[in-house]
Amino acid sequence: MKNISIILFLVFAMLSGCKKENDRAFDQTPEQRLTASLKKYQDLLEGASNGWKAVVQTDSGRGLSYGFYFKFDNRNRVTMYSDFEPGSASTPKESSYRLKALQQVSLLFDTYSYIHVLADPDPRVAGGEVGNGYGVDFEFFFDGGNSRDTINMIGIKNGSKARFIRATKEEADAYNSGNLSNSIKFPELYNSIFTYWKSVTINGVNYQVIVSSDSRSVVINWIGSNGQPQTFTSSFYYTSLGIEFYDALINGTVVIKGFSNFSLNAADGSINVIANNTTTSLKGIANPIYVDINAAKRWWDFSVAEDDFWFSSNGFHVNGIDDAFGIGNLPGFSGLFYGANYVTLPTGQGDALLFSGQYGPIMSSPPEFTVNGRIIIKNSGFRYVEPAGTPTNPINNTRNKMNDPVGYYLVQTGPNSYDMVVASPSNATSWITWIF
Amino acid sequence: MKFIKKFILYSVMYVSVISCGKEDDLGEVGDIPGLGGDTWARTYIDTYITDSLTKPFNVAVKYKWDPHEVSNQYILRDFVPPKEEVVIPLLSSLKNVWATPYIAETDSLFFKTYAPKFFTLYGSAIYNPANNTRVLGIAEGGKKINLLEVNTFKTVQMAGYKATDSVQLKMAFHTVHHEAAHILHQTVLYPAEYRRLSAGKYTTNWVNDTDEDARTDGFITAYSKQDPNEDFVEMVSMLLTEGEEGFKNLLDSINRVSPVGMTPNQARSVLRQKETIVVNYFKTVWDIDFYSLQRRVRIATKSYIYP
Repeated sequence: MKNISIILFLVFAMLSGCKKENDRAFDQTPEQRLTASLKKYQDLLEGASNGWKAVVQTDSGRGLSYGFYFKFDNRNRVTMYSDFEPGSASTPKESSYRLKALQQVSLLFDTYSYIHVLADPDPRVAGGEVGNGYGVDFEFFFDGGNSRDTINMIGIKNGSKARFIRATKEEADAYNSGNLSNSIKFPELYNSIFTYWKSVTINGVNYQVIVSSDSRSVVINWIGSNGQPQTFTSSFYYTSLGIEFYDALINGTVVIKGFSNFSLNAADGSINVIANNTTTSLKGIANPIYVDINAAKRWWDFSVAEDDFWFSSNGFHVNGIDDAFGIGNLPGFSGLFYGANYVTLPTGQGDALLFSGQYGPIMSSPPEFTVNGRIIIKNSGFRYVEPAGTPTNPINNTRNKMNDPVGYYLVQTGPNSYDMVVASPSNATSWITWIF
Repeated sequence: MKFIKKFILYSVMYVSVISCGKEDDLGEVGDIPGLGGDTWARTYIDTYITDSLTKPFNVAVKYKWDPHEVSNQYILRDFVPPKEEVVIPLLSSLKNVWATPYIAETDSLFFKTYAPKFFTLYGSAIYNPANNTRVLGIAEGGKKINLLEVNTFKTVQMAGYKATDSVQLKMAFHTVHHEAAHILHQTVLYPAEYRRLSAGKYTTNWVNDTDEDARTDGFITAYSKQDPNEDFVEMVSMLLTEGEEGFKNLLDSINRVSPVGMTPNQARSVLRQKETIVVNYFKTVWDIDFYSLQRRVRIATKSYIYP
């Protein structure tokens, strides 16, 4: 009996196996689907007759954004520009690429080009980190959410996020005219406005704009229609027409994707830009539109909590001059450090302002935090004595600036970076950037 | 009994697959993407490799990015593919400083038998920041050589050559001679007395030494201190790339007593004994006149350094 039932079952299985022939999850074999997928992406990439403007954001989308332009052909060749330096922004470079079926369909830039410069583990090439470069990928798999005009990809090795956006003819022509090398001069133009606070007016709303070129990030604040302050942060990269935000700012019908077609307005020193498809100007303002009143305390508390220093590579920026006090010329200078609640003095606690992490004045701790968000730092009178022969002007000028009686506003420009700006309209041309 | 039932089961399944399968087009099996290797539109570089290395010597060269050609221990490191413009200058000079001299001293059969068959090129070195080392070449199983940091390769014939570029250039030649020599001693080992010349001085701490330090201890380079095999192939490679005179200059430059008390003359003596073993090994095992090979390699090497 048992034997019979087994045989019956087998026969049934055999028949149903045949009947199900056209009822598979997919109509085609894996190989057919893979081949179709490879062809689909190949057609997509080479089908963009004006090429692709692209952004690669390192560290799974938390790091810096770098802008590229790619034009793919049907013979495994790609021509590119990158926004990393003037040469790569103005001179096209041809190299090879291929689409390959790895675990997913992937795009490999398989001989060296501008994108590899940012992945080069040799610091002599582009100054990246030894053994790691800037953490940019050159092998990507295609991520979801792709359309005819946008391709999202993820870096296989380091998890960079890449986004390709189909370029317009205007953009492509501008790349091929070397205009990307003009765009990367935006920080120069931006810094030609000496006041820290800057704004653009779009559709009657004033937007406070803070661009940090080192970290390629932008912070925009405005007062919403509900009267509440709004904050937008994004990393940015350069395109042939200007700077473009990784995420777009959306405020009702206003969509700010970046600033393009910028030029200096010689008459009043402002910068003409196109934003939200309208011409406007970026101009200096003496008073901030918005200050994060908790930022100063947050900045100070972070150093205490981490038991470590804030770092500035070149000290104060004053009236358009980086390192206005020349601290970079101090012998063996390795940076300016601020350690909150760092030392115990006979008179109480002290914050240390250390040049090269070794010598400098000690400030009274904690500093004063005002209700409107200022930090006021006072000298304790104590100091870590500098080595004999060290010039004292850079030290004393920096100390006096830190002790500005008006105090400072802090602006958070990234997860671990703040700008500290003198909180008076007349001196809002002085600031220092702290990173952790 | 059970066994037979199972047997029946399998045969039924087999039959059913065949009978159902007849309606499928099995031809798709031949269209697995990437089966048979990567393909791309060929360029002049691919043509050069085929005509100059693959056809005459059965040597394949992969220059397009494939991180899986390096051994597993390095796969997670960050490194990059080579620049296309260095591929042909590099390969043609390697052919002249390595393949041509060996073939002149032996024959193309020897070269085809013992030469590494597969080169992969990478633009940068593989870095190990933990101990401040970087890998410039890897040889595997007597078959494959990974050449790294080729992007800075520049010969005197190339635009913008500076005298300091010779360091990188000789490093590339050195790497190939080094890795090729590994294959020779992995095939027939050198005499055991070689190991005894520096017994007790081999150490993985060589990373802390300069080449000059190592020479005071009777090693031709710091890396020679790693183990006797590396010592042997470093000797072969340095003798070939530096030439007889260059080797003598290196010995003459030893001018201080080593940390373990070896005098310059003792160090020179050890290095000369190592040289002798190398020369005898090439003669007895491979029937190669090493000094003649050395002269040929050196002449070819100089042609890429001096205008």
